Amino acid sequence: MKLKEFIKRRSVRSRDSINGWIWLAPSFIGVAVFYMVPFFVIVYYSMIDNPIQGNFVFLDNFVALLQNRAFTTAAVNTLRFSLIAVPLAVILALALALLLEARIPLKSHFRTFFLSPLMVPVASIVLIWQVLFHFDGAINEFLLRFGVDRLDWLQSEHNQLVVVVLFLWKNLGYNMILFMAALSNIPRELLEVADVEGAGPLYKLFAVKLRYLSPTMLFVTILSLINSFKVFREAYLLTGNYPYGGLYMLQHFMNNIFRALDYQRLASAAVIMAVAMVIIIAVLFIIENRYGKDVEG
Amino acid sequence: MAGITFNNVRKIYPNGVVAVQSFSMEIADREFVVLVGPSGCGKSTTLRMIAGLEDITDGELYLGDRLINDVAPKNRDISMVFQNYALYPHLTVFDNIAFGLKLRRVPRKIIRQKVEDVAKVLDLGDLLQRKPKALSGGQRQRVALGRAIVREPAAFLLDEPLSNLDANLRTQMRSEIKKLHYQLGATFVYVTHDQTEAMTMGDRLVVMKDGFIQQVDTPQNLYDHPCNLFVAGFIGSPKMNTLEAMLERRDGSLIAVFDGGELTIPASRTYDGSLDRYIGKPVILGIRPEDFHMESEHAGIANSCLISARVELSEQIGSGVYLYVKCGETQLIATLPTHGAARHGESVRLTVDCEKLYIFDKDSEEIIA
Repeated sequence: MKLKEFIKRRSVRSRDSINGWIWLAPSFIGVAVFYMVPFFVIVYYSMIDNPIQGNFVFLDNFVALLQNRAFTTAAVNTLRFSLIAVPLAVILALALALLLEARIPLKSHFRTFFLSPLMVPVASIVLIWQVLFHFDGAINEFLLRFGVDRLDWLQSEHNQLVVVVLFLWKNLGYNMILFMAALSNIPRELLEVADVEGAGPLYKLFAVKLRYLSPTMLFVTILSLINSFKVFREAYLLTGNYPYGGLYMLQHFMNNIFRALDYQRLASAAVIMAVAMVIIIAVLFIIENRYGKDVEG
Repeated sequence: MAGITFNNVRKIYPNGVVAVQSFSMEIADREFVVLVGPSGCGKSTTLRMIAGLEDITDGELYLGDRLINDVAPKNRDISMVFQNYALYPHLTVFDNIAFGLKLRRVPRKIIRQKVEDVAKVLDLGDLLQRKPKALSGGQRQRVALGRAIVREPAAFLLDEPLSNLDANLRTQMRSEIKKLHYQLGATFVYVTHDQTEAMTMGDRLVVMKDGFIQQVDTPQNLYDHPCNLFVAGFIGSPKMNTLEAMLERRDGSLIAVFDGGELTIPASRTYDGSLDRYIGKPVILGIRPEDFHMESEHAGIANSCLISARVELSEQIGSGVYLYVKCGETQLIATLPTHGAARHGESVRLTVDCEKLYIFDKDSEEIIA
């Protein structure tokens, strides 16, 4: 009797388990085919000498890559771009959200104004940027009135600045909306208690609002970081395969070695980039976890 | 410590909604005043105007002798307790209580001393290093009270502080807040929509409706002498029975005839002739549920009238029973002693203590006798 019951229970359990896997399968197959398998293929390619012979060379490709000047230049440029653009995208968006949270006239107009770049396709933005920053463009014309000499922006040391401005213009609105949503979620009573107990606006900002915004700040930072790595699209459309100095990004490098079908270097660069991203995001999570754990949920 | 004076205070929101209208009253120093009324009556807005969290559209508001219309909340010397505690989740109980003192740059040693004293009063001594999420609802509310009292402000404002607690804890906290009031000897302004809470706690109650003060008085006076139908219905649990009746003069007596019965108005209620102009007109009768008695137990009540009714439902409450009866087409509720109470479907004969009858004008809903 007991044995019968045991077998029956076991068969029900295994049937449940099979059912579970069947329901999971579509998502699992999707993630495996489009993310996991390609990632492991890339890791495999980064550790062989070439796709035809397929000899295992372990870290040789990585060592070679780190000695490649084009790669180090691209990595430094990308890092410098991210270090400038990401904090600006977070801080300026937060400042705008705080400003629009205050009682100011034409609030909704400003909100629409800052969101409008999201609706414009990148190609048309680039076209406008080319007109603005051309040697005979509007910016130079404007600066000339103040006695500043003309500058070929995209072929100068300042070309990264042009893309930073473009990046901010494109991303600020979205980040601002995320911050505005988070600001409206801060319990009103906590700010009112601060008012009654004697806190000034700066204390409220740093001790209450930023505390509650920390999960959103993490999200916006990661989003901006990913977007800053993708800024290649704009840089490529503005300046082509081999831009001047500071605009040569990691993705330029990857794009160029892909065109040369250099799988090993491409795969190694992708792995290094993925590892760097994972480390940066992990550090951000650790910071946020320490700072914002009490205010979540 | 200080009293609070309202002088024709009004609050109109930018969208045109009138929240508080011509609010005038004086709250004495050390008084416990409860603002009570249904949702949207303007009680919380009034409290928030005292705190400085809402601008005053019109009128004057004084704390002691000081006009505080345009004084920032932090400079008003008041503290406030909110319904959902409003504790900072990242701060410990100690830091939450010490919050206001730290902002005022009180020396650390004094802060420690004061917080420990308050923790002792509120029985929070063992919880000082915990964070709010590790506390129960009652403990959180005590921390919020601690933060309010540690600064020793001139007045305490409490905005439905017990609404988030369960019934048992609410009763317990009610008495704790009342004790705190005796201990501190400060002015308390308390907002609630719960009339039991209001009746048990306040020295005086302010009953509000649609932004207007309906009546300001002691709990007992409000219960015994409501000024209108709204106050009569709002104060008292179960609420007062109200029924439409026609006044008639019969053999020199004044009779109120309603669907299902009639009641004789005692001569003591009619001697001033105030009811004469209502003869032949409809009025609203008010009968408190506890003014009904079983026919067998009515002995000793001087002016009682008998009505017949059918029991629709009876609710045991331990100390007695709520009897829901139908008299003709009129629904009534009576609070009666448990023993001898009738059951569902039975016919009962109830006596009404007519000395305690309330009569309201049908149109203005003001009390007329």
